[in-house]
Amino acid sequence: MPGIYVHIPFCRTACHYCDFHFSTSLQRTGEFVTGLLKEVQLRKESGVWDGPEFNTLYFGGGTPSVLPSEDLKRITDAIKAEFLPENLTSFKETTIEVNPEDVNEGTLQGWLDAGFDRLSIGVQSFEDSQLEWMNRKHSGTEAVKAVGLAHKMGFNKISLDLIYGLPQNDKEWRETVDKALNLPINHISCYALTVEPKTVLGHRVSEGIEKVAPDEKIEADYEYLCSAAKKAGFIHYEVSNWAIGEEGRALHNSGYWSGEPYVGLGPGAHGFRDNIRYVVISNNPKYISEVGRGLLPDSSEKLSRIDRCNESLMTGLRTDVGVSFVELERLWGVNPAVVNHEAWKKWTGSGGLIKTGCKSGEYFRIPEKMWLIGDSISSDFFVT
Amino acid sequence: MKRIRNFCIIAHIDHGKSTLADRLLQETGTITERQMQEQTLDDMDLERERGITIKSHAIQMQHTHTDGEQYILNLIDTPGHVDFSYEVSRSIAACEGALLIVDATQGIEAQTISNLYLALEHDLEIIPVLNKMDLDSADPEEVGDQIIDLIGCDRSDIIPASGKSGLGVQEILKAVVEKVPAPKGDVDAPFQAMIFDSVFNSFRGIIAYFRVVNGTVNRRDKVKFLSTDKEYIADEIGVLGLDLIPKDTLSIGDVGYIISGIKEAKEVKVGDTLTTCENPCTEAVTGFEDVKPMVFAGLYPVDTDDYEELRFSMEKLQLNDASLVFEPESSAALGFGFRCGFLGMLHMEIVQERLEREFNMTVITTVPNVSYLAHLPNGTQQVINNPSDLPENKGLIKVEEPFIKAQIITKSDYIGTVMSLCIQKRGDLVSQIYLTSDRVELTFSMPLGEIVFDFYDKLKSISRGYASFDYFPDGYRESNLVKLDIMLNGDQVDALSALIHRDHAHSFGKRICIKLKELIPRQQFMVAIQAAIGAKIISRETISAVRKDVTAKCYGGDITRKRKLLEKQKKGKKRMRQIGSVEVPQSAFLAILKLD
Ligand SMILES: Nc1nc2c(ncn2[C@@H]2O[C@H](COP(=O)(O)OP(=O)(O)OP(=O)(O)O)[C@@H](O)[C@H]2O)c(=O)[nH]1
Ligand SMILES: [Mg+2]
Repeated sequence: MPGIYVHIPFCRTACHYCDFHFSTSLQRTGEFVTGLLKEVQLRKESGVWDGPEFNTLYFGGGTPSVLPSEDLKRITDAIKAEFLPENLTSFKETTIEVNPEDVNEGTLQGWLDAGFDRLSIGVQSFEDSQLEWMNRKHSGTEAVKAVGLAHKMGFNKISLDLIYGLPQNDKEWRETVDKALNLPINHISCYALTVEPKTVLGHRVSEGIEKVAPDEKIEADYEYLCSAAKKAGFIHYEVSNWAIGEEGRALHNSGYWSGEPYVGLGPGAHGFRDNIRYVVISNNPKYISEVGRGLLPDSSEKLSRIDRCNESLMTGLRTDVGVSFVELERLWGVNPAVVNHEAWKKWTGSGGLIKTGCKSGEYFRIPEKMWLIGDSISSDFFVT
Repeated sequence: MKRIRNFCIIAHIDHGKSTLADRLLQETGTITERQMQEQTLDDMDLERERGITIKSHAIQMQHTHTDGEQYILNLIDTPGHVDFSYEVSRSIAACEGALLIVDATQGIEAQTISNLYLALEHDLEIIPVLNKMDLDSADPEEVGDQIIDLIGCDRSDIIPASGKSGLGVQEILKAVVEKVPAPKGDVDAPFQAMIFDSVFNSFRGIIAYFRVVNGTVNRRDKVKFLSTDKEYIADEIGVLGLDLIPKDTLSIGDVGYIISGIKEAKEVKVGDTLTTCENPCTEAVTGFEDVKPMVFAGLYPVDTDDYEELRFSMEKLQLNDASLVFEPESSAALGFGFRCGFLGMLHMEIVQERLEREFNMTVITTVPNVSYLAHLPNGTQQVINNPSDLPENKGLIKVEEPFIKAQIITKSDYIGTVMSLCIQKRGDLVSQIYLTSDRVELTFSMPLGEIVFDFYDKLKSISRGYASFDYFPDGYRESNLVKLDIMLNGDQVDALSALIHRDHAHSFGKRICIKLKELIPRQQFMVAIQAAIGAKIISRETISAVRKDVTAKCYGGDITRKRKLLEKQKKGKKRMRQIGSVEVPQSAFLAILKLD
């Protein structure tokens, strides 16, 4: 489903591993909100978004929960006024990413009032030593409390973010997973710690001060989560995402993976429609001044049919639905399995590609146990 | 015709041929100061990067002699490396004289001698030049003696020179005019010219270079090659300056080019005779030996679909490299490709690089080998250019391998180390001759298979660069050879098979497995590398599997970045070849050469 993404480019502190766009100077949040409201207007006026019916709204960051609830409400109101389809009173899913230390009765009420019905809580780990290592500003206990309180206040769609492949021992990871699965949540997003070059962690690794976890450790962590989540009733519906029941799947993110259009708002946000993908300038002051002058500070890229085919393949193979090669050929005029027949032989033969149970026989997916090498598999099918 | 002189510059590698050529071009005003660079004639990127000449290069100079007359001097600069001696022999066939350059700090070396003999075989007038006289370490007395000894000239015949300071350049030009005979021939005879080189030019098509032996040719004449009888119109003829210089007529002694709408590379053959259709000559020009490749290897396109493309590229390259020979073959591991013959390992490397640079063809090269002779039970013999073609044991009486006479010239200090290297390579000492008190010529009888790989590099390094080396075929001899096969996850990779002397097979098998482990990247599953003789596994290494390569994050809508990442990954893989389930990079096929 078409969606709207809002990037809130502020954080109180920088996590050591994160390379998303954010600023830790919170003085200009007021100006930013004004700018964002203006951008909503400008996007609407551009007319290019008149077609799609937007069903989901997602606030990511950065840390959206650093903004006062009133500001958040002004933004959601403005977006609804411009982009909410007439037959709806609210989007089908309105998510906000929050940090545990920002969660209290007051903020929760504020988020409800602003129209959010789904929380994505940045827990990462329940182990305090790990949290400190990542430069997170909450404790494990705080995170547990935050989830409980959110649920009590009426949020019944709660997702947790966790990070695996940390230089921790197996026991710590298992405890984190077990704790998470015992909380009143219906969704987990779990990412392997990725060492990005322009981060504190990246620097430490390149200096040899810090070591990355070996493949075996990452694999063991992942396998533990897969099996524990399954026992707890979660569906593993995307490489890094688990949900309870069909209705637990994140609607907004699923839109990205199935090639739906999305509006991107705020510095560093990405948007996509037809064959255009754009990114809004990743610089808060420039963003504020440009939007102030009535300009959309985007840089955009035109996607070829082959790019789109490759993207569908790549995102599709990350899901439990998988991809239909025949369908790709219908859409983009090229069948990746035919032009890469070696890869087809290799991966269907070795069980890296199997027919899905979910859809018609045309659909193929990567089985869970091979998802960790999914990049190799999908890039083998890339059309060049 | 009386005022034409055709000469080439020959020497051992690095003795300063191309640098001295620069001085000659400068002195005769053939090139401007602006066009001038170091080794101007080395115009291929590869030559400039490596600092060596790969191709012979012909250029015409105008020179006013001391008698006040204007002379045309056609100079051909030649390469010095052993692998390119075929270039030298073709150049020699187009000349009446040769400057034999000897580095005054190094003295006579192996290719000084071999190239000299090539020139003498063709009755060329030899002008000895003692080069690099500007250096303090130059030893004109000693090296002069060596030259006198070698060619039996007078000390006064030797011209002291320097490609750096320009010393001796005037004297060289004078000697060329006075000593090198003018071309002989009959102006009124039918036109007869010898093709000595050719090149494919993407703008102008095929350009053939020739030397006129008899008669004349005019622009727009109808011409043909004797070997094919195919007729063409001479659209453009001319002489070779730094660029092509069109002319209306070319005559005896001229070194020129022709552009004539030749469509296919294979229509032009170096050594062929060009004549006019109206009044054709009947005899072909002789004096041209066919190339004898020393090393064979399979060349395969990285992408199997590029087979035809590779053929076209090789045909075009062959125009400019007459020593390259190839024929189609197929490999279970690599599909369709070509078995190519090379003059040596450097030649093979250069061919591979030129295909990549000039034709954008990335190729995989199989393990190089020499040409074996298998004696079959029915009394016949079979030439084996590819280890995979060797019949099974029972279908075989014996196998012979080619031997060579290796001539090594070294400072006497290094005799010991050179000897032990040669013995390690199964060499037998044939003779040991002191050229001077501290320079020795050692002659070994050795299997060619032992010297093609890394012998030359090893020789250079153990002698600190002081030993030089040349070799000549010396027949075939029976050897105790075994076929060593390599398997990846149980699949035999024919492209990696090699014939090895039984005594060396075990250590060789072990080293190649270790090297392959280094060169093959980790895959999604474990890879077993095995070396086997027949059914017997003699060595094994394993590469552990990649467990995780997925970048977990793909949200916030930044799908572009992720796509680009995978595109890059795919591109890397395109340079690899799939063998069974294993992806093998191009470099792994040459692993054998990098063994230590
Ligand atoms: N000092 C000094 N150096 C020289 C002289 N001639 C050449 N050199 C140097 O010797 C090296 C080899 O020179 P080249 O002219 O490339 O030798 P070459 O004989 O053409 O080499 P190949 O074509 O590869 O066989 C270069 O580094 C030159 O600069 C000279 O007269 N004096
Ligand atoms: Mg040279």
